[in-house]
Amino acid sequence: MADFFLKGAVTVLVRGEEAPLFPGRLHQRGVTLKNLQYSRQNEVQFSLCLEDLGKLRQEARHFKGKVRFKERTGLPFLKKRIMRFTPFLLTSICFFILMILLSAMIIRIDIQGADAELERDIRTFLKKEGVREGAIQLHDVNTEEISRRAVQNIPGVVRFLIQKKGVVYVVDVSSEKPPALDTAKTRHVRAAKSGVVHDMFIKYGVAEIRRGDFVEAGDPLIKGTKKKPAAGTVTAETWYKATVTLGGNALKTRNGEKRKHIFFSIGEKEYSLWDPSSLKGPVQTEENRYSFHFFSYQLPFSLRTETDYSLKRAGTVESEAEQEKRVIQAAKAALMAKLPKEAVITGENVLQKRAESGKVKVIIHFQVLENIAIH
Amino acid sequence: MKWMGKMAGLPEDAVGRIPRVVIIGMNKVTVYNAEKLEQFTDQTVRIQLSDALLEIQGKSLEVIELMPSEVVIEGTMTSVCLKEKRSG
Repeated sequence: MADFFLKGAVTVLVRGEEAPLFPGRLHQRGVTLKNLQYSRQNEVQFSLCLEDLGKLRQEARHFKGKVRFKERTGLPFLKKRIMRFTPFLLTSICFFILMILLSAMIIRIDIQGADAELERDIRTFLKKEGVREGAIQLHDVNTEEISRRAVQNIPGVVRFLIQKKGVVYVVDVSSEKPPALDTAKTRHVRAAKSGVVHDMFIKYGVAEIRRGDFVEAGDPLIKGTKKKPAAGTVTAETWYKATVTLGGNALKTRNGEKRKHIFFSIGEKEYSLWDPSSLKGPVQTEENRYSFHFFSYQLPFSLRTETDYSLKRAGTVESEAEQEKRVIQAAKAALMAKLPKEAVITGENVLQKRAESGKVKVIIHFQVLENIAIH
Repeated sequence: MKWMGKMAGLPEDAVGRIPRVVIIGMNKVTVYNAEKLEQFTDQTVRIQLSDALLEIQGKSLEVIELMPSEVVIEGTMTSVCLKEKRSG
């Protein structure tokens, strides 16, 4: 009977001459008994609901013999036993949480195939992306996206492969190899690009040029001897042209309203934990996936959140000047990523700007100061 | 009570507190509307019904359930005996 489990029951051992009559007396009082057993001479054992304990006590008063409780079963006793184990249970839960957190932590980042300088660059880049040693990352890192951005943003990187191996990220990089040095050719310093010489620093050799000279790519800049090749830097003003096409669609911004949907998945099945009403109008959706690892094993449950941001048309229409500024800014950032670190952008001019079927096409001319000396 | 049940076409044991004994095989006896469990040992179980006395003999008898209106007995039965209640 369910009552016996829910309300708790005791097994009673009755010993005495009148023991065989004892259950009958209890029965007459309307007590429900279970599992009556006659175990030995004048010894009867039965279980009884906790509720009827008072009646048992009344009966036991008239009884000549011994009444003893043998065993306690049921929910109330189970609860007590669990309470006694609370510290142990709490500790094990804490252990699991700690283990999951530690498993989500990035312990080490291994970078292969990069020299010291490139490695430093890569580490700073990864730090910006949120991948650093000691970071706890529950959400899955989009490695493809990082790889793509790394190739764009880190100068000199041709191939970027990032892989998660448990708590270690392994980054495999290939960088552009510097052109092979040929001793016969390295006697003179030549221009890598055409430009106007702005400044020069000659370590060794004879300068072929003066400030303000226009040089073309391949022109000799500093002459050296066979014994002692020329060395130095020549800073020249060079030019870059960038063509930017801006989408004609109106600028949209988030208006601050958002709805977060939370999904919980066990194995293949996905359940929605929190499902607010969807927003009206255009939305921008961001998706985040959180998975839990125990050591390197992925636990079979994960969380996924989808945040919808409501979009609104930017209230003010961009003026032409503002638009131009934005285009220049974007083009400048793209160019900076391509140029070596020492290069400085000194000026920019919009060469051409035209609207074509709702899109704006802008050609910008940049003046850059950079070292053009190569061997 | 009895005639009412007859009029309605009900079986006799469906009306009132008339004791009913169900024997299932050699191992199980269920007694409904028992009045009192008079004596209980592993060899003899005596149950008092309203106008009779039921005596079950066997080996290692056990009362599985003893509820106010139902008694379930299990064990190896050798005899089940229904006696008329002695007057006085």
